[in-house]
Amino acid sequence: MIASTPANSASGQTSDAMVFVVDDEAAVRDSLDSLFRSVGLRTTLFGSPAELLQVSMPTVPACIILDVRLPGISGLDFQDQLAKQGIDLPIVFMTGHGDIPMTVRAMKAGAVDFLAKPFREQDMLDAVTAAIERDRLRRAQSAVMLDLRARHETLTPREREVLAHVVSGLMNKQVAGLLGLSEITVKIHRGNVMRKMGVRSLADLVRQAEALGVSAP
Amino acid sequence: MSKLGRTPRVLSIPLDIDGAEGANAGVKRVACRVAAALLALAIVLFDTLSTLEGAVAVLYVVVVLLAARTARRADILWATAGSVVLTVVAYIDSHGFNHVGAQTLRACVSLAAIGGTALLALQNQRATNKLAGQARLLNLSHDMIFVRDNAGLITFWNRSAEEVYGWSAREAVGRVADDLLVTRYPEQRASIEAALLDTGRWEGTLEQRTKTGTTLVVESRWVVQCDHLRRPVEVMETHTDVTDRKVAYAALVASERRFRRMFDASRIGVVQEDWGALRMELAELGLMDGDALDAHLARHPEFVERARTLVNIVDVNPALMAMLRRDAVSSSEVLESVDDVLSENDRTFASALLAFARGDAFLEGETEMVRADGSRFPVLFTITYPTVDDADGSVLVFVVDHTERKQAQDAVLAAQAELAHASRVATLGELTASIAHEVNQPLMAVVTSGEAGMRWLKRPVPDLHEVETAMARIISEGRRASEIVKRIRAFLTKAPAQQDVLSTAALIDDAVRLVEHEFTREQVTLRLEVGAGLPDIVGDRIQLQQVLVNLMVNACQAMAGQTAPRVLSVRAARTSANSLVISVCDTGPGIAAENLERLFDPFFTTKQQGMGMGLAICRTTVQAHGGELSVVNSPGAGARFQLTLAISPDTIEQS
Repeated sequence: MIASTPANSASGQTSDAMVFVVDDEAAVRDSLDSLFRSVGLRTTLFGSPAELLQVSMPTVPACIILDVRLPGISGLDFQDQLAKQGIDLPIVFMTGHGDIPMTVRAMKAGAVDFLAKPFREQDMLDAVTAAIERDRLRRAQSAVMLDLRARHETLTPREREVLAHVVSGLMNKQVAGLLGLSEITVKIHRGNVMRKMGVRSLADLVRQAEALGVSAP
Repeated sequence: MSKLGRTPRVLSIPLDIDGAEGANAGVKRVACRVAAALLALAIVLFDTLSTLEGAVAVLYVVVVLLAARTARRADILWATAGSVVLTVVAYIDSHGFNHVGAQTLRACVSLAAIGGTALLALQNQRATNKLAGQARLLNLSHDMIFVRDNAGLITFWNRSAEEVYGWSAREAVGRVADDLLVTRYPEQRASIEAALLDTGRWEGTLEQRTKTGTTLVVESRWVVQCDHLRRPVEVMETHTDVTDRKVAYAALVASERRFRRMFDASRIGVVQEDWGALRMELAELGLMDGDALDAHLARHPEFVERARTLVNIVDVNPALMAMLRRDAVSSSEVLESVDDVLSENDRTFASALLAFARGDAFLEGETEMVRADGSRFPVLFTITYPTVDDADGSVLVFVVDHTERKQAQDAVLAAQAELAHASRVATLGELTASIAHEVNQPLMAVVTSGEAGMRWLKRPVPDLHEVETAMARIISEGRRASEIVKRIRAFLTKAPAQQDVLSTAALIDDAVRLVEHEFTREQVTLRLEVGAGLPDIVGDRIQLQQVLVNLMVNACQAMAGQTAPRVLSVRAARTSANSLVISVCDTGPGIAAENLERLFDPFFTTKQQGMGMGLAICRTTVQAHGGELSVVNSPGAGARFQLTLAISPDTIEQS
C-alpha cells in the first residue's frame, strides 16, 4: 500500500483511509489509483468483484469504487452480495451510462453516490470523502457501543436494577422503596454505576441507557 | 508401217503383253520364234540343196521380221546373228574363199539387207517399248481414261475405267462412249465438240452412269489427236471421279455459308486476328514458351504494348462494329491492330500472350474496349487460338458487351451494400450501450489521469514521476479511444466490396472487439477457440465482420435473461484442403423448429423490434464470398451457426 501525506486534502482526510477500486479496465483503475493517492488516500485495485472477496476487510475507514458493468456480474448484484455477507463498506458507483431505475436501486441499497463516466475528479473525491466519513462514523459508533456494553457487563445485578430504575426517572427514596433497600445503599450502588459507566451526570447516564436499550423492569 | 503408228494398235500391244492376256502373248511369242527358226532352216536347205543362183539369202530378212514380232531385242539380235552366220556359211560352202564374183556380190547384198532390216526392227522395237511404257502408265492412272475415234467409238479403255465404270476393255472397245456411259453434258454437245476442234482440248464436269447404274460426277479433260494432215483422228478423254469431292465441297460451301451467317448475324462480336507477326517475333526472341515469356514480361512489362501493335485485325463482324459504334463501311481498314480497340486499362492482354505462348486452346476474361468516340465499355471475351496444324492460323475473339449486365450487377451490388450498411447501423444501434461504455472507458481514464496529474503537479513538491505516468496513460488511452472510434467508423463505412486476403484470426478478433462489452453487459462468457496457424481467407473485411457481429449479437440476445449459464463459443478450424469453418454457438434456448426453415428469409424475425434482415444479409454476404451459412439447432442446448469459407488460394499453395 502506498501511503503519502496529503498536500491539499480538500476533504481533510487522514492517510489511514483506504479506497477499494473495482473495474475491469486497467487504465481506469490506474488513473483512479493515481487520483486517490494524490490526495493521500491508500488504494487497493481489483479487476473483478471476485478478487475483492478474497481479501480481508480493512480495519480502517474505507469505501468501494465499483463499476456498474463488470465482467460476470453487475455492480448492483455485487452490492447485494456484499450486504448479504455483512460487508457494509460504503459504495460509490461509476457507470458509462446511468439510467434512473439503476440509480434508484443503487441508492436504495445504500450507495453513497452514482457517478457517470467521465466525471469531474472533485465529484469523485467528494463522494469518496463522504463515503469514508460515513464509514468512519459507523466504525466510531460501533466502538462507543462496544465500550458501553463492556462497562455494562461490569455492573452487578443489583447495580443494573438500580440503573434501570434511576434512568426511568425515580428518586433514590423511591428506588430504595421498590427494591426494599435503604436509601444509603441505593446511593452507594448509584455511585458505583456512575463510576463504572464513566459518566458524571444523570443526563449522560440516561443517554447511555437509551443506547444500550436499558429500561425499567 | 503406218498402221503401227496409229495409237490404238500401239496401245493394244502392252495390253496384250501383260495383265490378263499375258499368257496368250507368250504363246504368240513362242509361235513367232518357232516360225522364224523353221523359215531359217528352210532357207538354209534351199540355199545349200538347190543350185539356183540367186540371192536366196535375202529371204533371211523375213526371219528377222518374224523374230521382231516378239518385240524382244534379244530375239531380233539372235535372228540377225543366225541369218548372217547361215548366209556366210552357205556362201563358203558353195563357193569357197577363192572365188569372187557375182555370187559374192549377191551374198553381200543379202547381208546388207539382213543388217538393214535388223536395224529397223531394233528401232521399231525401242519405239514400241517406249509407247508400251507410256501406255502402261495410262493403265496405272487413277483416272478413267479412254480413247474414242471421230465416230465416238471407243478404241482404248484403261484399267481404272474398267474398275470404276464396270465394263471390261473387251466389252467397252467398239461401243459409242456417250451411249455406254449415258453421259450428260453441262452444255450442248455440239458446242463442246466445236470448242474441242477449235482449241484441241476441252475441260468440264460431266455426269456419267456406271454399269451398275450409279451416277458419277466426273471432271473431264479431252485432248484431240490429229494425223499428219492435222485432221482430228482420235480424242483421249480423262475422267476424275469427283462425286465425293463434290459432296464434300457442297457441304463445305454450306458450312462456310452457315458460319458466315453466324459471323455476320450474331449478336456476339467476333474479331478475326492475325497473330503471325507476333508469333514470329516471339519465336525470334525464343519466347514461344509460357515460362520464358512470363519471365520476360516480368523484366520488360513494356513488351505487352509492343505485342498489342503486332496483332493485326483481319476481319470484324457487324455486331462488333455496332459495339464499337463504327460505320459498317469502314470495317477492317480502320481497325489495324488490337491497339485500336483495346482500352489502355486492359490488364488481360498479358495473360492472352502467355496463353498463346503456352499453346492453350482458349482464354476467357473480362476487359474494356474503346468505341470510335473514345468511350470505354466493359466486355466479356473468349479468345480461341489456332491449333499448331491449323494452316489458317487466325485467332478468333468473341466479345460480349457487358455494359448492361454490369450496370444491373452494379445496381444489385449497390442495393446490397446499402442494405448491408443499414443493417450494420441497426446492429450498432442495438449495441449503443456497449459502445458508449467502450468509448467512455478510455475517455474516463484520460480525464481522470489528467486531473490526477494536475494534483501531483500542484503539490508543494510536485511528484514528476507520477505526472509522467499519468501523461503516458493519457496518451495511450487517447489512442485507444481513437482506435475504437476508427473501428466503429470502419464498420459503418459504405464502401464497395473488396477482395482482400484476410487473416481469419484477426477477422474474428476484430468482430469480437466490437461486441465484447455487450458480452459483459449481458454477462455472457466468451469462449474463443481459434487455432493457431489458421489459413487466410479472401473477401471483404467489413462484410465478414458484420456477419460475425450479427451472429454474436443474436447469440447474446438469445441468452439474455436466462438463469442457465450464458456461454458464447466462437470456434474456427480448417475443415478441408480448401475451406474452413467458423462456428458461433450459444447456450440459449435454441431455435424453435417451426422457425428454422424461415430463419434466413428476409423480413423474418422473432424480435419485437427486429427488421428481419440480419441473417438474410448474412447469408447473402457469405454466399457472395463463395461460402455457406447454415444453422444446426439443438433445442434446449442452444444454436450453432456455421460459416464455411474458402481458403485463400495463396494459403493453399503454401501448405
